[in-house]
Amino acid sequence: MPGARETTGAIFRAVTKLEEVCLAWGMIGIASLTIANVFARSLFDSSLAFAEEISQFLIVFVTFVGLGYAVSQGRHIRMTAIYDQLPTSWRKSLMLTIALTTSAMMFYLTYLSIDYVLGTVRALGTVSPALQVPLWLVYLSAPLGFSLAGIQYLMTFFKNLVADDVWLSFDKKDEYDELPPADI
Amino acid sequence: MALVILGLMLLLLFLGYPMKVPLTAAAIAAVVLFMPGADPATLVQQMIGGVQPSALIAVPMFIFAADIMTRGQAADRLLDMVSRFIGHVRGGLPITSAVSCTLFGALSGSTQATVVAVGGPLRPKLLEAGYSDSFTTALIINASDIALLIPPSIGMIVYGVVSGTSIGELFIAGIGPGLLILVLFCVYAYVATVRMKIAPLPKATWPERRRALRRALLPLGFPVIVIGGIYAGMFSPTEAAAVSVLYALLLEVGVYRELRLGQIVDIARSTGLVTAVVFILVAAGAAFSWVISYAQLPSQLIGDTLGLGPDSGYATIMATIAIAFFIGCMFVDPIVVILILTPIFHPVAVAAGIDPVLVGTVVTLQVAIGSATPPFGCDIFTAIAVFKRPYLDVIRGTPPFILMLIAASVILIAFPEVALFLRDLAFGD
Repeated sequence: MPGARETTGAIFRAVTKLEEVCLAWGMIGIASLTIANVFARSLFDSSLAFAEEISQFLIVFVTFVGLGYAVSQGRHIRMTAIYDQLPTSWRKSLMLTIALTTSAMMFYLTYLSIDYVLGTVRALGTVSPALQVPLWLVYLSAPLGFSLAGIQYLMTFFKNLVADDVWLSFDKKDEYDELPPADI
Repeated sequence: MALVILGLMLLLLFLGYPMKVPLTAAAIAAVVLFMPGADPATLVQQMIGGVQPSALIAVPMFIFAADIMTRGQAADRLLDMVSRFIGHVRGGLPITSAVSCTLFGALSGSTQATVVAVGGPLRPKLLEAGYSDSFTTALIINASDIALLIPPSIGMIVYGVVSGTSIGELFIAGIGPGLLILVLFCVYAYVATVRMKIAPLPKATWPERRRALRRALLPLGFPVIVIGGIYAGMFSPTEAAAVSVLYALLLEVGVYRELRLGQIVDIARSTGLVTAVVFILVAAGAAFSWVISYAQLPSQLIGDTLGLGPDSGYATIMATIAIAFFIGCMFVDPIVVILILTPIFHPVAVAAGIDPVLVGTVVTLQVAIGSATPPFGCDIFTAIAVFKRPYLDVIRGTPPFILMLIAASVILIAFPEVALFLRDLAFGD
């Protein structure tokens, strides 16, 4: 099914692009709000309560959106001292196991977070102190991020199943050369 | 229960799972298997809550500022200035590297960023001058640890948030121990150079030096903003971080015209990715911490297993804390170690009347040492990835540095004034 494979690739790239935009503007948003807050405090002697609040929303958003993105980039921190010494066939089996079980865990966390966010938080009707935003809306980042990460790990599993070599993610091979130094 | 959790965590860790998985899996297993009254969804609540403290916003801001400086000219200008002033002395090149790591530590809060920013340009020069690969790599990894002690410091921000200690005071207290380690490393660099019989670089002329200093003048404004601003009580650490970002932007986009605004968006994406990788560990660490405190493991561990109490005495408590954090960081990321171990050990130290700022400084030093220590210190893996060297080559030169760092820990614990002198000067009693 070449069509299905191309579609998967196109969707993967579109989601990745969207995640990149979210991360970049999330960071720029936090920086702008925090800088604005410093000026407000030092010039007008009053802190912008809403600025701090939106920054907190954005950091939750960046954390969970970035969770999926970091999987697609193969960038989550791992302790690979033992893994790296293993022969390729072992690493391949290990990567298949890691991808499948981690995917399962991410989907379990998706389930738990839907339970918590749509169940508990929405039922309580908690709102943020300054802007009165319902917190369950903000916390939707969590199920979103966990499910995206779960899908990414599942795709990593299938990639390793069908393709040669060991793959850290859907389109990142397990090798050191691809690490761009400026990105650390 | 403790054994099952710990066993599961270590197993997944050694198999090479992403570090968030062992933590989260252990937390889930504990709740499902051993805590019948608890709702597993509480773990999600802890994770979301864990990344929200507003003091933590300083972390991505400092990463952002350092990213901008590294892509722009500021980092290069600083390295150039240092090498023109001290390059000609015996051991000038390795001493330049150590001083540059310290100075870059004043721009950035993480050891990994320092390994890249200083090691990238200086490592080829050191090798060319005739220094051995193992010495060079070990020097860069270990000197980068100084960055964790020199403000801003991501480790100190996380410690401050978890323990409720003033991050500003921690920042100022880190300067003394950071400089102490720098001195030890410079002495060693001198001795190693004499032993390897490597000639010094040609001396730069004074006009060259003046020019280099002028070029580095604006980047030197960073430590003034961060340390000076906090010292003078003008900024909180988060505010200093935000002002650093603004300053980095003005410098690289406005003054040097090295970066265009479009590139800033790409740097922001890279910062966002690094932030997410760190913060997902913060989230998982928060969930894990909640589980162990719910199960009252800390008091069991401290009281029954280690036999530690407020009456144990200063030396015993500090030594136990130092060893625990050091060993922890030999295996996992420093942020994770600080998140999990701080709630366990901090209360004992405070109950014994030990200054929390001193405890935080010792902890930061230990996590810095641990992350450069074989077998699994995470800086070693950064170096393997960045310099593309095999594991054994990277760790071969580390023992002398680790000995010096342990000596620095002993000095710090025996003479707390090393850290507290500047703090007391800045914040009074």
